Amino acid sequence: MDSSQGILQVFTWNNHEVEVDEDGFIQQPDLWDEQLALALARTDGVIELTDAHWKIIHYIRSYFQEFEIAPMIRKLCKETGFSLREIYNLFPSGPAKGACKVAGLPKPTGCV
Amino acid sequence: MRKLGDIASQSGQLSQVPVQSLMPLPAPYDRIADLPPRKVLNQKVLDRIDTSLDGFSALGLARPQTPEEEHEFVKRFLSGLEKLLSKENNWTFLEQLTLSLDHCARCQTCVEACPIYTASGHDEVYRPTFRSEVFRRLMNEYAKPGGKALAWLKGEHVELNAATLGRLLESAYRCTLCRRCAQACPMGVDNALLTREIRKLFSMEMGIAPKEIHDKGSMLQLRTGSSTGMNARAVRDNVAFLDEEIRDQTGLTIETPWDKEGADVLLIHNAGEILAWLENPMAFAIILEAAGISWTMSSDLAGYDSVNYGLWYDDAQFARVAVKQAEAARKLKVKKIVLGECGHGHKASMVTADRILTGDLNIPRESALVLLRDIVMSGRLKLDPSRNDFPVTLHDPCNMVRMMGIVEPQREILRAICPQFREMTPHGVNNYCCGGGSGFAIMSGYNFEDWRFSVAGRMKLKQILDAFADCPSPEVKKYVCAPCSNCKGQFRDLFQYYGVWEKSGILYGGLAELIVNAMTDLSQPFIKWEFH
Amino acid sequence: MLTVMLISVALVIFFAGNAVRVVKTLRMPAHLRWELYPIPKGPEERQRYGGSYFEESGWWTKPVDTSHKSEVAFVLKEVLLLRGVWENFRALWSWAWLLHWGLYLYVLATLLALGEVLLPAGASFGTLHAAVMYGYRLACSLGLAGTLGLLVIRSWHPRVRAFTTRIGIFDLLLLGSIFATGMLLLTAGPAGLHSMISDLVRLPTFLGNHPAVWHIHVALLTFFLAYFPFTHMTHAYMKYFTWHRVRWDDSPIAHDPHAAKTLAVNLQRKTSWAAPHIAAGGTATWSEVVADADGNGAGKRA
Ligand code: SF4
Ligand code: SF4
Repeated sequence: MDSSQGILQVFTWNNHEVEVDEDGFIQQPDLWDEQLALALARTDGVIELTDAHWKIIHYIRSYFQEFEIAPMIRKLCKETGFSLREIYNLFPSGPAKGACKVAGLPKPTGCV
Repeated sequence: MRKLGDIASQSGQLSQVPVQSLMPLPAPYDRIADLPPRKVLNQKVLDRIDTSLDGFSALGLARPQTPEEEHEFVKRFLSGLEKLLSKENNWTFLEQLTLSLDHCARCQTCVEACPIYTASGHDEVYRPTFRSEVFRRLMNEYAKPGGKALAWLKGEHVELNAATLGRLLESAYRCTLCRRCAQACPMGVDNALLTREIRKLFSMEMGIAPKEIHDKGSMLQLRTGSSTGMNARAVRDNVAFLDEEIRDQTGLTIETPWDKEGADVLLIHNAGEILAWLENPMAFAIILEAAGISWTMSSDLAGYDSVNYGLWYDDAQFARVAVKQAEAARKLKVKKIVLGECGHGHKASMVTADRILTGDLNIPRESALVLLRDIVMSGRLKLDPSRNDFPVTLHDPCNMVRMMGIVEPQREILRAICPQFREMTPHGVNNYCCGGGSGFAIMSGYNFEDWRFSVAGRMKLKQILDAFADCPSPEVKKYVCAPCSNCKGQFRDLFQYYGVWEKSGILYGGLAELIVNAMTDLSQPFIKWEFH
Repeated sequence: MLTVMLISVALVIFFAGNAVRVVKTLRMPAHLRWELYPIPKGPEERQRYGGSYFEESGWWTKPVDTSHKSEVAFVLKEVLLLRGVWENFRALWSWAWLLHWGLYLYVLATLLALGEVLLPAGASFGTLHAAVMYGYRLACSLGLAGTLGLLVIRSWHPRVRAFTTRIGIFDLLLLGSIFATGMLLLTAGPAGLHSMISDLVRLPTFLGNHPAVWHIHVALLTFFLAYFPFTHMTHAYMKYFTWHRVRWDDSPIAHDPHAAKTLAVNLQRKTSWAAPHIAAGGTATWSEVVADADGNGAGKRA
């Protein structure tokens, strides 16, 4: 019996398959590419990814590649020049549950 | 649920937790129609995971699929039961466990003290003695000689099957370990301790624990240094950003000291503060610098994150983290560790770990609330209470207050710097938990959040609204001072769920922020009155 | 003779059973701290709101409070007035209080009766005898009222009903019938309850002359003595442990010279917790488990 917690689901896009957790975060950040980002964005109701979206996504990803964690929200705003409200407009689920998910990060953990 | 033995029933859900039965909230939170609808789990998920206690799932426990799997599940549970009673495996809590197992009079004196049971409208599955009594009977019947016969004789037989275990496990995650019921018990029996022993059994024997607490909590902390996943480089980068923020916001130049050997104080925050409530560590830096304290932070593994989730579910994980944190302090030869605004971190390090840390690992540990009180009372900071002239109430984190007796320092500060400070009822050692205790504030899988906000946090929300009943309008900005990360996490999510900021203008935040907000050296108010 | 022998056996079980329980608990390993405030220790000002030594800066440099005054006051309120039940479950309180006082007085009267037998004849005999008589009378009346009330509450009160089992009712019936037969005996003249002890001690061979209810009472008592150590009723003295050694035990190891040794013993214990992050199917000492910080399974190689 599988006693490990959290049931993984399979997210299918363009005939590819990746594992996601119950909130839709992908499990292996290495499998991420821009195609997948678009597919993930659509699950949150974002139809097209504009330059503004990409700016945020790329910042999150490069930060993640360097520090193995998502950037803090205040820093994300400061570095990309978007206000929190603007980020919410671009990613309706917000920076953590929206933008980070699209950027292929795992779900944030710890007391945050 | 009609009787205790129903816990073993093969089908159905013991309670539906109907919204109409919950304890009513004050207006405008009393309209059921205005509440966010409960999350509906899709059938595929429902088919696999166990939601048979109350329709919610904290763990997403997979149901055994075959009789063999069920047999194996029960067998592993039984071997865990026995280990709980052995000195070798449970020297840490054997005495407390046996005392609580053997001396309950089933008098139910304790039950009305429980905020979850009462706020649920007395839903029997949340009665503090329900899970304890099931656990006690299982222990007596299945782990003690002659148990079977005695159980029949006494009329205390409980069927042991996968359904029993699935529900028992989930029910162990419907109690915040707040220990309010334990205070009420005339025998000194502790239902919270029993809850924790149930959690321990599942985690330590069967490897079953909520992933937020174990895989992505204590395991991640031991691997990277923090349950947030921040490694040493990330935390230093982030704190450097906080220093920058201080400069931008206040004009003060502060460079947070790292790994300074021989400092008086090693400050350990809950690392979540650095990511999610940065005003708090920023405020600490400002205060400590202004007061001329010799302090440092540590970039050693676990030296920069005071959390110790093992406190909630696993003695091995608990001991590992406690030792790592103490080693970080020892390396820096600091005079004392000061624990930031994190309730369970306080208790884990100052109380529960005390008998694990001997010799040079037992470095004196002090509460930040005490240090802040001393600084404020010493007059070293120039403070103007009129800068905090808004209604403020204080939340007492269970771990610091009921379990450590740190009651007055935070109040002395608030009385000195917040002219409109008012208490909640009840408060101090009799407080109600925020509803996010024992890990709940970071648990959000499946539909657990619906439960956390509608049941676990209900009593606290009512208490807060009542404390501000004289100024309910959202125009009047109000502040709930919660000197604990975990509680803040719960308030953030709880307030968002009910729209408390929009409807009532209530913000939450820490204690240090209020102090800095009163500092006359700052030209701008430090508290921004933005909900986040 | 048989009666006396049975009582002796029951007494042996009673004392041995309780002693085993106490000794077993005393010999349990030094456990981790798990205190709960308010704790009746320290300056009164602090006790008023349940504060602790943690409120002081540099608490580890300050002397510990060794006075037990407040603890004693707390225990007295709990024992004599059942304060916890009074504060948290008023409907139960009056009956629980009656039952407890019935028991206290019964024990007291029995001790006095024993004194009466053992003291040289004539020594303030009259007063003592009267105290025994009235003591038993009061004990049985209170106890019986309390038990009956509790039986009603246990069976019908919605707060406890679902948690009442056969054994709970049995315990109450047992206590109730002890008090009831005691009541009956009180009216049975010179061979009544008040002379039970003296009869047992002085005239064991003539016990056959007593009425049936006398024998039933003595038999119930005998059973109760032998049964008591195996019930939750041992809370009567085990509360010492739940309160003093758990709830109120806030003593830091900074003040304990033996701490390191105790811990060393505990860390050498071998654990077999089977989860993959602990002993993973084998065994390992606790110090090995703690050292295996990555949680790879310290006992795996075994
Ligand atoms: S835990 Fe205490 S108060 Fe609650 S039923 Fe048991 S003995 Fe009574
Ligand atoms: S510890 Fe708190 S939440 Fe848990 S049963 Fe007791 S009162 Fe309820």
